[in-house]
Amino acid sequence: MRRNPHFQFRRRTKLVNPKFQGGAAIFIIAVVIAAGALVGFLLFRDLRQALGDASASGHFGFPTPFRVVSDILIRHLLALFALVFAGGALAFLWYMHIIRRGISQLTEAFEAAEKGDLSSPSSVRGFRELVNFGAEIDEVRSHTLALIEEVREEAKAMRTSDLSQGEFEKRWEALKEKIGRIVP
Amino acid sequence: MSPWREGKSGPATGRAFWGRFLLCWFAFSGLGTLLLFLYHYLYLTPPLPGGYAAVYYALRHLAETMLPVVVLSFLAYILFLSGAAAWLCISLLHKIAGPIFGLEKVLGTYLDGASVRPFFMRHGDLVPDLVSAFNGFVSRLRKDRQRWVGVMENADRLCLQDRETCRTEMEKALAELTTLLSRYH
Repeated sequence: MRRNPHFQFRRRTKLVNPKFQGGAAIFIIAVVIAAGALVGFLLFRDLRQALGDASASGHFGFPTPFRVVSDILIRHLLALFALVFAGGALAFLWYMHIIRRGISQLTEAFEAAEKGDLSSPSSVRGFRELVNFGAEIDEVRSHTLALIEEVREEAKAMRTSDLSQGEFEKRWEALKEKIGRIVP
Repeated sequence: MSPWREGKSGPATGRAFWGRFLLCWFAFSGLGTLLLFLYHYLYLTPPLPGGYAAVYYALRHLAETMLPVVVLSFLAYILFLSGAAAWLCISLLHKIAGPIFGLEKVLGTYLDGASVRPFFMRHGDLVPDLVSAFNGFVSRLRKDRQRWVGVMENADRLCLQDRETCRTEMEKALAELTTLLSRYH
């Protein structure tokens, strides 16, 4: 039997970050609740009005109550569908826009680090998860810079100080070890 | 370095991602609305009684009892769509949250002083630029480190050839090392 070559690399756990993934759902649910409450209220008001009018007018040319209110029901439900679909899609679009902006700022932070800038803060804006990740990147960059500074200071000190050959060689080996600690 | 495991290109393009979201959301919101319609249809289809008074009271009664019907049906609708939205967001956004979680772990490993390997994305993950930038940063740093070590090892080799100029060669190597390190600020 042939196996799917990608299967072993698929992510099995879908709920990786509940706050990050649930945040988008909360935005959409807020839209659904708002649209549902609005259309529900209008539908109830119009249904009651139509049924009340039909009972008062004495004109009962309908076999079922549904025929009295079918137009109102269909109109309101179509409006509900349009509101929920468009509103939900817009909420998700907005959420994704903020995520994309945050991720592009994180990418820029790594690209700046590749070019040698390890001190400028990433200043990521957006959701807390992205801001925290930006802070972690900054921590990695400053940790790397501290290691490099340490090597640089040691190299400078060795060049300027008047050490004996034995002491110089000992510090030379120690310096190589320090360099090895950068991206082990 | 390609962020994709085994060098495969990403199958989940932006169009596929948005297409899947819009299709699923259209289907869920359409199904929810259809169920709402069916519920109201079933509630309102029993035939009206024959006489004038009976019809009058039946319609009045229906008008009075519509509130709990509408409230309950809309609550069920909201619950259904909330579950659908949660499922959709979890299943779509794990392709972004997953690699970020993985990268966070790699950064933690680096801060702990352990060995750092290039990060590979899984099938369908959606942040290739971020992963490429991380891999680029690590590979550049590693390349620079090899160069720094190379400068020192070259001085070591020259030392073995001539012990008299050893110290001078080492000091020259240190000067070169300082220049190379000045790239990082």
